[in-house]
Amino acid sequence: MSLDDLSRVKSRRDRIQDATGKKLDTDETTPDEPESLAEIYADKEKSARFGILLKTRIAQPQLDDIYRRLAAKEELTPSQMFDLNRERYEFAELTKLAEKTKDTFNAEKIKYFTDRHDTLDMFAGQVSPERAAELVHMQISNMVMEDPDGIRKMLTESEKLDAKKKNPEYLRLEREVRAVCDRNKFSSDDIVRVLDIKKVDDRKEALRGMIRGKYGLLQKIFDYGVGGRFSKSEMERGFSILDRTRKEKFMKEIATHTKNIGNILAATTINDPKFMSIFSQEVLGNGKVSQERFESVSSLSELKAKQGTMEANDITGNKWRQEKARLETVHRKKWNTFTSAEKDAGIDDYIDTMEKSSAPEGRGVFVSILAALFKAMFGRIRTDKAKWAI
Amino acid sequence: MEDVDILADTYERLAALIADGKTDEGLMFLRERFTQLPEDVQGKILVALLADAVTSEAGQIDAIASIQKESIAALEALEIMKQSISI
Repeated sequence: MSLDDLSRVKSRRDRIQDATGKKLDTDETTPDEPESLAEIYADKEKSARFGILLKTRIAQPQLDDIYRRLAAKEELTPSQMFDLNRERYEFAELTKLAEKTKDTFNAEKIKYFTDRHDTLDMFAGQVSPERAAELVHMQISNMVMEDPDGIRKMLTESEKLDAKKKNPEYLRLEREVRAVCDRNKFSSDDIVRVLDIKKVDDRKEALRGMIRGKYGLLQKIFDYGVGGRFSKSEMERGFSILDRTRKEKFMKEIATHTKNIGNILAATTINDPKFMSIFSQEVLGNGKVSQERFESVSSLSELKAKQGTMEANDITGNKWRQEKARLETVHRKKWNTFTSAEKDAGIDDYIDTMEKSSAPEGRGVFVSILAALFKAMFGRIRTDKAKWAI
Repeated sequence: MEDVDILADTYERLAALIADGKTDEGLMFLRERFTQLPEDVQGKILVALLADAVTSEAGQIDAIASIQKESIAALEALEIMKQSISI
């Protein structure tokens, strides 16, 4: 690299470090120069996404002042310029993360998961795979700006899952299972028959009963005979004291148990993702696992407590009328004599308070869905706030 | 119904069902509502469920592998038992 090139790289590194406040590692590749603020604001979609990012990174009063100055074409302060410049670097990084996530979760991969997971299928199955991918991709671009860690986690877990499927140990076990089933002619026919039951709920229940019975048996035998707890010689001594009839009874039981466990083993090779989902859920926690995965107990109790204090339909109705009456008392004048700025401030404060006090918190997919509904609802309330000024 | 009304109504009813632990009913209700919801919310619901599917599939693979290992070990134990009985 020539001295000129080195100097250019150094000045770019310095510029990035100055703008972001981050110290780049010595071996870190210098990122490309991100788009300028003018380029971001010239594009309606980028500008909207940049707005989402700024909302999560800059305090609301400062942000309001930035927007006010931009709308009035006033000059921004040096500190505001520094903040916006820093965020355009973050914006560029998160945009790259969104693109990588969209590439990973392409239409084919979304269909793969939709085919294998009932709950996702209930929703994604209502639209075409292409449309499902379109809806997901649109939101990944927005969500990465407000919850980059959530998107990173989803991407990392998917990469780990792919690596797990290629793991030599996993592939060796798969081969061994097939070999054991072939050698012993184990069949999953009785379980496959259950899959023929047309009504989904009946099929699930029949499968659950079958899996619980057989898996319970497997666990008993596993606990009893595995792990060197009983050596062959100990067993021989134990069995030698039995008479022929008892021995024959034992042999018969061993044959039955071997067949039942063979059924279970053969069932693990069934190429039916929905069956595998029920199967693994039952084994992981007798069916409770799906419930636990959805919600932590604390999320539910938190939600229940908030339910008592919030009536979403009432936010723009009675509650708002009460708040207007309170503002009239505080300002000692009627609402229709408030200035636009006073009305704006009153409405903004009220929306902020309602949003902060009632937002669902916690873990689990239901909380994520409720949070999405909640944010969208408040987004619309903010957009329509002109109606409230009347 | 306007966007804000359908969002408020959906939020309210879903939150009530979930808070009562009626998650299956909550899912059925949300499924009925899904295509009436604004596009951005439909997308966010799909992303949440997709992320959940990825996590759940990783658990599923581990669970199946554990059944397979236990089954093979149990079959070996049964085989030893069988060989130990001389009739």
